[in-house]
Amino acid sequence: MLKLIENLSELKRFSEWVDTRHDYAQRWKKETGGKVVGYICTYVPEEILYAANILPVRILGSKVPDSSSRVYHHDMWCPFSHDCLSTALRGDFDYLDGIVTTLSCLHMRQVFWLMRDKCEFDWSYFIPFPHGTTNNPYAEEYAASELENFKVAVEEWTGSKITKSDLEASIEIYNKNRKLMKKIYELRKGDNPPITGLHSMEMVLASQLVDKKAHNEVLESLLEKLENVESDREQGSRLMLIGSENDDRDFMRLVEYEINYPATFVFEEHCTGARYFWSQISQNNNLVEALAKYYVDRIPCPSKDWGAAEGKDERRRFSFIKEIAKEYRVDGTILMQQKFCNPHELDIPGLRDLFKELNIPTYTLEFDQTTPVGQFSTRVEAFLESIGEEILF
Amino acid sequence: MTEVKIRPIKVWDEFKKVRAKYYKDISEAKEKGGLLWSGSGWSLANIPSGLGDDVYFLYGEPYAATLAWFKDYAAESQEYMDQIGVARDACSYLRVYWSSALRGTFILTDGTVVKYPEPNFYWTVHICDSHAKWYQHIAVRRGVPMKALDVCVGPGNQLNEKKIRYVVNQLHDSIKWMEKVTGREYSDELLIKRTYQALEYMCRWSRIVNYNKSVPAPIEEKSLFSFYTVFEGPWDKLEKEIQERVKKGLGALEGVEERGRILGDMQPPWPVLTEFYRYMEYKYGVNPIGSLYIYAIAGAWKALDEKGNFVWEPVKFEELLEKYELTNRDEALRATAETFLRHHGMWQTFYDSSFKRKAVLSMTEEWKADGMLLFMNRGCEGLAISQLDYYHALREKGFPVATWEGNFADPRDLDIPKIHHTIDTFMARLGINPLDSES
Amino acid sequence: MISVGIDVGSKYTKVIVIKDDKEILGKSIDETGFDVKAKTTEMFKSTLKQAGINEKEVGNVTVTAIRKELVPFANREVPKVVAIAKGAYFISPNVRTVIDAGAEEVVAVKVAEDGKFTDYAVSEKCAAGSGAFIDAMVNALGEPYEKFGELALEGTQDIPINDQCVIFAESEVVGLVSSNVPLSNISRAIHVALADRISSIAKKIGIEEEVMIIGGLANDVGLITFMEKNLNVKVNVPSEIKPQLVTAIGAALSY
Repeated sequence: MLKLIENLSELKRFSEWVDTRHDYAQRWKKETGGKVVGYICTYVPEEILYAANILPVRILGSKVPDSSSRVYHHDMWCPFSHDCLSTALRGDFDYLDGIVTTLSCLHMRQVFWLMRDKCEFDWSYFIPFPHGTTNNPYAEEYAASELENFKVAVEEWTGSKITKSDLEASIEIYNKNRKLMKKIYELRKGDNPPITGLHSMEMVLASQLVDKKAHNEVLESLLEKLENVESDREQGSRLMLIGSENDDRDFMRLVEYEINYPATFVFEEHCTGARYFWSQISQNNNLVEALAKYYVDRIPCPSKDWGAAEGKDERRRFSFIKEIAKEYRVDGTILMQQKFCNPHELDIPGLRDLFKELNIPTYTLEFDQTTPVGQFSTRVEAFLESIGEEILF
Repeated sequence: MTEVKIRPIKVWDEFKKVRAKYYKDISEAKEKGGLLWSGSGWSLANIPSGLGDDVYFLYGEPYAATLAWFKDYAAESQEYMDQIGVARDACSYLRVYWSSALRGTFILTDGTVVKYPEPNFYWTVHICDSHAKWYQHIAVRRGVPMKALDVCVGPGNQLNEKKIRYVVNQLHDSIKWMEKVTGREYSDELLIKRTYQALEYMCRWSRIVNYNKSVPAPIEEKSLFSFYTVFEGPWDKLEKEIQERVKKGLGALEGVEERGRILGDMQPPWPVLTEFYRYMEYKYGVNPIGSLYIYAIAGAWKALDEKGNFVWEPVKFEELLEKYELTNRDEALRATAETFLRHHGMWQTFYDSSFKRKAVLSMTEEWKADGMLLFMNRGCEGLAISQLDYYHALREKGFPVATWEGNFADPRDLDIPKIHHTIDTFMARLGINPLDSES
Repeated sequence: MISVGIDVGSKYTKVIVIKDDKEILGKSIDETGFDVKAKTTEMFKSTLKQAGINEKEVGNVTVTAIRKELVPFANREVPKVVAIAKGAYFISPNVRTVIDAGAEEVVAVKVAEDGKFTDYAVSEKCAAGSGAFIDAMVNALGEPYEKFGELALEGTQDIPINDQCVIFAESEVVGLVSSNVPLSNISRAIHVALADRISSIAKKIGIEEEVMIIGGLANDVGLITFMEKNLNVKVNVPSEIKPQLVTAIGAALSY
C-alpha cells in the first residue's frame, strides 16, 4: 500500500514538474507561442496574466548557495530572497518574458527591482496594492483600481485586449485549481492521511509553476485515486507547518521519512501551502472587482495582517490557524521561519501565545538556503518525543 | 595642536528643555487627565490632536532612539528581548520599545526610568514591514485599542484621486474610531489648526537642512538630531541663527576650516553618537553635514518629478497655504494625505530603487559632499532598502563611499574601534590626514 | 632608512624589516596571543636580530590593524587597507585588486596605478569567508590543515553547503561525514563555499586584473583554484614572500 501511494504517477508528476520547472516553462513557450511571466508574490493576480495567454510562474530559489546575490542585496535579508536573486543572476530565469510583483514584503520587493535591473526582461510591472488587508473596508476598492491599471498594462504589452470571457475562463480554471487542492488537503483531516506533507508541498509548488489546466487534470486524477486508497504509512504525530515562503522539500522528507519518530504533516499554512489556494473568487459581474475582493480577503500574508481595533488580536491568519489546528487535530506545530523574515518573526510571539492557549506544543526552526540535517534531526526528534509523551500522558 | 570645537548653538539648551518636557509630559499625561496615544514617528500627529488640547503622543522611533542613547539601558532592553525569544534581527527600535512596554518602564531624556505610560490607544502609519505589527503586539498584550493606516499607495509622482481617497477614507474612519475609543468629541477646528502646524513644520525642516548646502555648512548632523523631533520649539530663533552663520560664512566647526563634507544615509548609531561624530570632527576637522535620513525623514521636498528624479527643493509653506484652504475635516485630511504622499522624502524610497538611487546621487551634488559613509544598519530594514543599489551607483560614479556595519539601537552590535578604523580608512581614501599629524 | 612594519592580526602577528623601501632584511610570523604589547615587543626585537639590525638604527615603526597606543614603541599607525595596498603594490606594481583573506576577516582593496587604494570592502560580522571557517571545518573533520586545500582538488562532486554561517556549515559537514561522503568531496564543498563568499566581497568593489590574494588563506591551493573559477580571472599568490607578510610590508612602507 505504502509503495502504491509513493508510486502514484500524479505525485511523481508534481515532483517532476518542480524539478524541471525551467524546462517546462521553456517548452510551454515553444508549444503555445505564449509568454511566460515570473511573479514574485502570491498577491499578483495571475488570473489576469493567464487570461492574456501568459503563463505565470512563481519565482523561487534553487537551494544552491551562491554568494553572488550578496554583492547587491543585504546579507541580513532573507535567504529565500537571496536564492531567488542568485538564481536570476546565474541566468536561470532568462527565458522569462517579464516579471511582476505587487506590494510585497520589503525583501522580495528589492529582489524584483534587482532582477528588473540586472536581467534583461522585456517587461516588468509593479502593482501597488493594499498593505493592510485586515479590517480595512477601503482596501477592495483601491485594489480594484490598481488591478484595472495592471490589466491595461498587460493588454498594452501583449497588444491584445483581455476580454470578459478570457478573464472568466481564466478565473474558472484558477478557481477549479484551488478547489481541487483544497479537497485534497481535506483528505488529510482524517486519521492516516493518504498523502504526506512532502506530497502536498510538491502539489502546491507544481501549481505555481505550470499551466493550471494541466495541473487540474492531474489533481482530478489524483483525487479520484486518493479517495480510494488507504495509507499504511505510520502516521505518528500529526503536525502543522506554519511559515512565510517555504519550499524546503528536504526538510519535509527529513521529518516524514528519515527520522526515528513517526510524524506526518497534515497541514501547511504558508504561501506555498494553504494560503495560496484556500478561498475562491466569488461571482461578480465586474471581474476585476471580484479579483480585488479575493486577493484582499484571502488568508493574509503576515506582512499584511494587522489590526486590534478593540485591543484584541484581529489577525485573520490567526483565526484561520486556530480553526485548522482544531479541525485537523494537530498534535504539534512547527514554525518554519525563514531567517531574517521580519513579518513572520513579528507574528511568532503571537502564534506562540495562540498555541499555548490551544495547548498545542510548538517548535520554531530558523531556515536558511540549505538544511542542516544533523541539527534539525536532533531538534525535531526531541520535539516529537515530547509530543509523544504528551499524547501518552 | 589644532583644537576643534562644535560652534555652540544658542538655542540648543532651549530645545533640550522642550524635548525633556515633552517626554516628561508623556509620562504624566494620563495622570493629569490628558490623552496619550502612541505610534510610528511617521504618524500624522495632527489627526489625533483634534481630540483635544491635552493630547500627547509617544512616537515610537524617537523614543527608541532616545532610549538607545543610554547604552546600558539599551543593552539591557535588547537582552530582555533575547530572553523572551524575539528574533534578534527584528526591527531594533521595535525591540527596545517592546522591552519598555512589556517591562512597564520608560526612560526620560535625563536617564531617569519611570513607569511606562500606557497609551489610551495606538495609532500608526504603516509603510515598512514592522510598523503596524509593532504596535499591535503591545496593544493586544495590554488590551489597548490599536489601528494602523495603510499609506502604501505608491510614489508621489503617480498619485491619483483613488490613491488619495484610499488614505483619506481611512483617516475619516480613524477619527470615528478615536472618538469611540476615547469617548471624546472630535474638533475639526483643532484638526485644521494642527494641520497647518504640521505642514509648516515639514516645510521648515527641509528649509533648515537645506542651509547645509552652503559651504561651510552651518550645522553638523549630530546637532540636527536635537531639533527634528521637537514640534513646538524656538524654531524661528534657530533658523535665524543658522541664517546668520550662512551670511557670515561660519561653519559648524570652530578652530578649523571645513576639511571635508561627509554625508551618511541611515539613522545614526544612537548609542555611540559622540564616538562616531566627534571622532571624525575632532581628529580630522571634517563636517558630517547630514544624511539622506535626516534630510528626508521630516522635510517636505518637491521630491519625485514625472521622470522619477528626486528634486531636493524644499516645498514652500506659502505654496501649500495657497493650495489648501482648509475649511472642513475632509479638506484637512486630504491636505495631510496628499502632502505626505507627495512630498515626504523617505516615503518615496519604498516604491522603486531608482528613486532612492537618484535621490542619493543628487544629494551628494547638491550638498557638495566629498564622501559618503553608508551605515549597514542591521536594526532597520525599511531604511536599508536599496542601500547596496546606491552604493554601487556611487562607486560607479567614482564618488568616495565606504560602508560600515552595526545596529542603531543595540550597543552590543557597535564596535567602536572598528568604526574608528573605518573612519580612518575613509579619511585616508579622501587624502585627509589627521589634524595632529599636520601640526 | 630602516623601517619596521607590524601587522597585528587576531590570530597572528607579522613583522617586516625593510631597508630603503626596497630590501627586506627580516621577517617573522607568530601567534598574537593575549598580550599584544609583549608579543609585538618580543617579535620586534627578534626580527631585528634576525636582520642583523640594531634597534638604534630603526628610523620608523608603523603598526597596522591595531591602535598605536597598544604598541608603545610604534611611531605611527596606518589603516590596514592602506598597508594592504602598499604591500601588494610593492610585490607587484600591476596589482589592481587585492584580496586579503585572513583569520577572521576578508578585505578586498582596489589599487590605482600609483599604488594608492581607491576603494575597499570588508567582510562584516560573519566568520563565513574567513580562516575561522576553515579552522572550524578542519576541527570538525580532524584533518591536518596543511593538506586540506589539496584534498579539495581531489573532490569530484559538488555538494552545496551553507556559505553564510560557519555554525550551520559545520553542522552540515558533520552530517556529510556521518553519511560517509568522501573527505575530498567535503573539502571541495567547503572550499567552493569559502571561495564563493570571499569572491562576493571582492565583487562589491569590482574585479580588475591583476588580482592578488594575500593573508593566511592564500596558502590554500584549493581556495585559489575555486576563486579563479568563480571570478574567471587568474588569482596571483605572492611567491617571493609568504602571503601573510604582505600587509606588514605595506605598514613598513607607510611613513
